[in-house]
Amino acid sequence: MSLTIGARKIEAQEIREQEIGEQEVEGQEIGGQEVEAREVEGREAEAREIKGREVEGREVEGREGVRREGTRWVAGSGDPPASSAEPGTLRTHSPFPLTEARRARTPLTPTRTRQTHTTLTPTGTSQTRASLTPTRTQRTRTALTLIGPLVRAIDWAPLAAVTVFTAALVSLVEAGNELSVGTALNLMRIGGVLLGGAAAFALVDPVAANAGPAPVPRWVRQGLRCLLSGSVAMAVWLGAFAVVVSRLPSGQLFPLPDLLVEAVVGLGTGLAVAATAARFTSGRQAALAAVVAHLVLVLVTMLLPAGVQLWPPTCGYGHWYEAHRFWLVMSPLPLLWLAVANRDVR
Amino acid sequence: MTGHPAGNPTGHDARHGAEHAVRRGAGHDVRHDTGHNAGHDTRHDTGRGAGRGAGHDAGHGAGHDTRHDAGRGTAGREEDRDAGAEAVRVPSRRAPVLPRRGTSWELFVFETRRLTRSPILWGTAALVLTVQTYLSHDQQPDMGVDPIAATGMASCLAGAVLLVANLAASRDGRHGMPESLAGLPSGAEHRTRAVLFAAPLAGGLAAAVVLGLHLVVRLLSGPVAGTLDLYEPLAAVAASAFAAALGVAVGRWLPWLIAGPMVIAALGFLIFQNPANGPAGWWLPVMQHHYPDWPDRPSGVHLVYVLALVVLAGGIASLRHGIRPAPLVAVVAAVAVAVPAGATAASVRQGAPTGSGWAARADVDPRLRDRFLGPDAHRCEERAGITYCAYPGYVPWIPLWEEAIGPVVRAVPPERRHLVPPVRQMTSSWFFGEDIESRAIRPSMSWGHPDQRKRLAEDLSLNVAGFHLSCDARGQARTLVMLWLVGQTSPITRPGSLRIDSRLSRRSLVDYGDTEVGYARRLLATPGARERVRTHWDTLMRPSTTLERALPLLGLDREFPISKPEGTPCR
Repeated sequence: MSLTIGARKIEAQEIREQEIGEQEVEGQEIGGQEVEAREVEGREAEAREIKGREVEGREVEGREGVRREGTRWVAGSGDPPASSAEPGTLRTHSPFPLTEARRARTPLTPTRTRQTHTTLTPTGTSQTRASLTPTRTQRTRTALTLIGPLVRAIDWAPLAAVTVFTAALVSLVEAGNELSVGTALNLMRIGGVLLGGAAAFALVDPVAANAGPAPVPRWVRQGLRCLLSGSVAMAVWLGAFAVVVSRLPSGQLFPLPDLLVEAVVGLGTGLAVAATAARFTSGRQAALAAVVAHLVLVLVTMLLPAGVQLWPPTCGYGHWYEAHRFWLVMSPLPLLWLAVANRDVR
Repeated sequence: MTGHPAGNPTGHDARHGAEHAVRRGAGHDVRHDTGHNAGHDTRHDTGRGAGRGAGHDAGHGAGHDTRHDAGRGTAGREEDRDAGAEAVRVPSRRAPVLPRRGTSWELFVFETRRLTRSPILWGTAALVLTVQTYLSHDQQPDMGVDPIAATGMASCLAGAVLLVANLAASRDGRHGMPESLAGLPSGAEHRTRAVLFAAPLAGGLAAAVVLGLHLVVRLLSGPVAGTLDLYEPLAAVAASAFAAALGVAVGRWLPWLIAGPMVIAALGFLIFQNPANGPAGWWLPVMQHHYPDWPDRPSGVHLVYVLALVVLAGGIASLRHGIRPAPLVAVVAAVAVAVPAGATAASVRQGAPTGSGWAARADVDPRLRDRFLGPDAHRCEERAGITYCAYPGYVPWIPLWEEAIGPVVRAVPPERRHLVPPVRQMTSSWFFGEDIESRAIRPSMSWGHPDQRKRLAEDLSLNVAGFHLSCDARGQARTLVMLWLVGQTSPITRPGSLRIDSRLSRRSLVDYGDTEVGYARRLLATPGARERVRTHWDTLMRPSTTLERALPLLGLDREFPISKPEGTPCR
């Protein structure tokens, strides 16, 4: 059995690989124009195919921003493969080239040619997986390259809506009067919960199911999404804090570090729960798990004994310092949970 | 996602156009078979109905969903099967073309079944029930207050209901469903209607279960005071139904899922702020701020108001699919009912003192002056020589008061029990209108906190020991006896603040030190103390008898340094 990949398709794949970031596989740089006469070892072929899927994934994921690339991909795969009907054939005209190759469950070893076609012969593979593992620098570079497409892929509308809502909340409540500290606390907490819920929408990846074999691990992709949306949410929260502080009576105790700890715990919990939900479903409803989690968290903390106050209603009084020391100690937990939830699904 | 292309099939690609053509065909078939109005069917099928679904996802990137569905992994496919495809299959399983009524009914049954199985709904319901029962576990049941307090907590359940209904209503815009649903004879309007009937049913059911179970637990947890106003728990059920209808409206009108939580946050904040909202709080679906000594709540009118809100939200949700007579009439009727009902409820002034400056009896709310301060305000009964007077509805608590002060009364020599004043229930809102000259032990309109038991024992002991004014009682023998009497039912501690109810607390009338507390504890642990106190009662009760002199009479050794009064000595 032999397998032929049309040269134009490889070109198209190359373009994609260039865009995603140049990576060395087996000491050979994939990229540039030496595509057609390139030595492709079995695992390399697989890696390249994997990349192909990753690129496909990115196109769909960043459907609004990267659709242009998708079009190019389709244009590049215009040639029907010569032997697409054969079992074990890599049908590169398919939007999911690996699906067919995997189904065949046949290791592919290419024979080196310097023609415009690369022939792959299914035999045993001799390459080790370790040789394909990208170095830290390569991974960082790839991750950085991902930021742009991810920024375009993330659904920012919820954060935008919540930003407007929070702005209205902190400026319109008791408008014209000084805010009481209790109200200010409630506003900051409500804003924090909503921002956490909105940031969680960034974790929704509609094509997560297809992005599994991508060379960039899931935790990097999801971690970047968390980082991007989380930092925007925190920035908005800080802005809301500034507005609230400006409306408080002068000299009023309203400590930023303590409230920041609350916000970080709330945001972290929301993202962690949404990240967990995103492992089970690819729909946008996964993000709402964050809101449900916040509701449950507040209700559960009400069940604590009367002497334990985790959401003190007055700054500096009651169990304020104990509660915030507790949240400070607990703050790494949601982040750890987030890291675990962002692992590879398979 | 800007601009909701609702009901606007223009601008779709050729594929969408083809689907519309198919849909129009289906619409004609239905019309032909069922004899429905042609114009209606066509408009529905080609316009806002199914077109809305397609448009919704088009807003998120048309063309994406097709590709996405084609390549989606097993997780996505399973979800589709669970979530949307089943809804689609229900009508199509029977026959290629179904009468509209049958489709709507099937959809309603499907949605009801799905919503009543929602883990979010029942998880929150269980949590709310647990939290509310836990928070009220140390308070005696009062049917005049408990259902209202539970209404406040049920707002959290209503939030979850809103979320679940919102997810159900917007479901056909997710999971790549628009293309699959587009070819169905029944459009988005039918699905909206199905959720609109199913979600309030499921939400109301959950609220009814929570309120019902909570009230049953409360009824079983001790003597019950107050009278149950059935409109109050029903208002909580209606509020949950309103949350469901609002969730559907939000899901249909606003394209972002975050809109649901935003509405929850806004309403939740306003409801949470209700103590500061005054009567305006009646414009909100939940008005949980109430005290038992306040004027009667306009609960019936409020229930009507909330039910009108349910219809209003449902009508607004239905209007998403075009301006039809039925939802339009519903909206107009709902507004016509809600506005006067809400205004009537909001016009009922909450209990607040009138006038300014020092509050006196004249400043008591005139609606309540007779009810709480009039000559017939109390129902009295005598138990073991002590008179207990409670407000109507609170008579079942008299045994609880008796239990709290009984041991203290029994420690007083029988010949001196006439010194024990009557027990007369007081209000926390209008205590300033009481006749403060009359000696009485005054339990409040809530019962359960340990401080409340101690306060009754302390009031009784102070009266018996002859302390009527604020003073320093250090070094006096009667202070020791007074503390010993308190110790019959409560721990003896330094003077401090005692909680009367959730609003008021009180500092002890007299001051004393560790010495008196220490000796009182010793006396409590001394066998035969009761007989010694009874024997030397008159000597011990004399203000001039010092602590030093009392110690040998009571059989106590000198252990603690005796201190002089620091303030005005008691006389």
